[in-house]
Amino acid sequence: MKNVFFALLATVLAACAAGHGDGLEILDLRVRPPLPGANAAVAYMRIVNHSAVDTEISAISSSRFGAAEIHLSSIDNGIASMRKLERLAVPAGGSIEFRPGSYHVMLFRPDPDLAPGQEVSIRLEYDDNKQATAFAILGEGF
Amino acid sequence: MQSLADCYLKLARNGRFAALECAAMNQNAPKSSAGRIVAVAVAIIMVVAGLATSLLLSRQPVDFRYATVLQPPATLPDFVAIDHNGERFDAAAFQGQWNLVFFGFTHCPDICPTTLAQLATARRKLQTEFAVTAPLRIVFVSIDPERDTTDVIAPYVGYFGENVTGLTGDPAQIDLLARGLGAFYQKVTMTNGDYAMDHSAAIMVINPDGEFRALFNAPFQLDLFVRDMQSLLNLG
Repeated sequence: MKNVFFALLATVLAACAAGHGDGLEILDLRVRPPLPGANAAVAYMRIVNHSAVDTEISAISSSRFGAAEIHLSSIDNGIASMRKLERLAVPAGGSIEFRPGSYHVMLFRPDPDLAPGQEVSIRLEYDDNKQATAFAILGEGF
Repeated sequence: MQSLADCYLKLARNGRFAALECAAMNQNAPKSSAGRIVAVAVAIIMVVAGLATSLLLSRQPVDFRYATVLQPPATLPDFVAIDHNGERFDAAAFQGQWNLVFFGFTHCPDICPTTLAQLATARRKLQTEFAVTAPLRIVFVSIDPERDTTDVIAPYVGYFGENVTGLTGDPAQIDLLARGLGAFYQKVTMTNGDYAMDHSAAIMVINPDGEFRALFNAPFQLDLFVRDMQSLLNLG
């Protein structure tokens, strides 16, 4: 119970410190390392739009990867496909969930020394010059 | 001449055909009218019992909620691929154990590893929670053999546990296997010049005789997969 309280407190403090104001905010970021043999990794998260207008993400990057892209996976009639999205609109006051089988961040060219347990950031750019950044500890595996 | 007891034994073993035979035999035996009524009643009961036994024993419909079971199973095409150890892998190599086959590619960070991880979980559940002892092999067939060489897929399949085989090789041979299992795939060029693959995300099941036995369409449903795989393993 005590742990839950401190975890909640930490979350609240972190949220205050982040000071998302009225723009986009990244919540619940999870970054998985590239699988052995594979050179791409994946990140999942929730992007919340606190503003009263639809906001479009125009770029995405990561501190420990050479490139990051927003992709959308889908399965239609039993066929899996993956498309890169150049821009992604987050509805006013709404959010978009990045999760397996749907929106995800595909991360290319990891730093050679990247290892589980290290900190990785994801940064979004929107409205020309605004940014939203979040950090996560690189997971152990899938 | 066989006794009524023999008849019952035969009935239990052979179902309704024996029941008809026994009924006929029994009907011939009694001479009185009361005896005849009893004989007819016994005959009817036996026919009904025989039919019921027959249905229960040999015609029990297995209720598959997720799997599409091929009846009869289909023969695989005569293909030759390369496994993750660089060894030859042909249609006969599927024999000797059940095979859960998934087509994918390693430059797929989302659906492919998610499905393979779920397959590994499903296999573990079958073995630990449902005491399945029949060997179950997970087979990852790369539909991007150009990039997925043995050096790439060996560590990749190793990540998902024991008894996971990765297949690559000549694209024409992979295509042959894919067609035999009804798997579709195509290359899609991305805006950055890179490419991705659209592909069937189904799980195909190959039985220990090396025949295409069942199909589980995507998206993967873990609990239903485990349930239907159990039925399929019992059915053979």
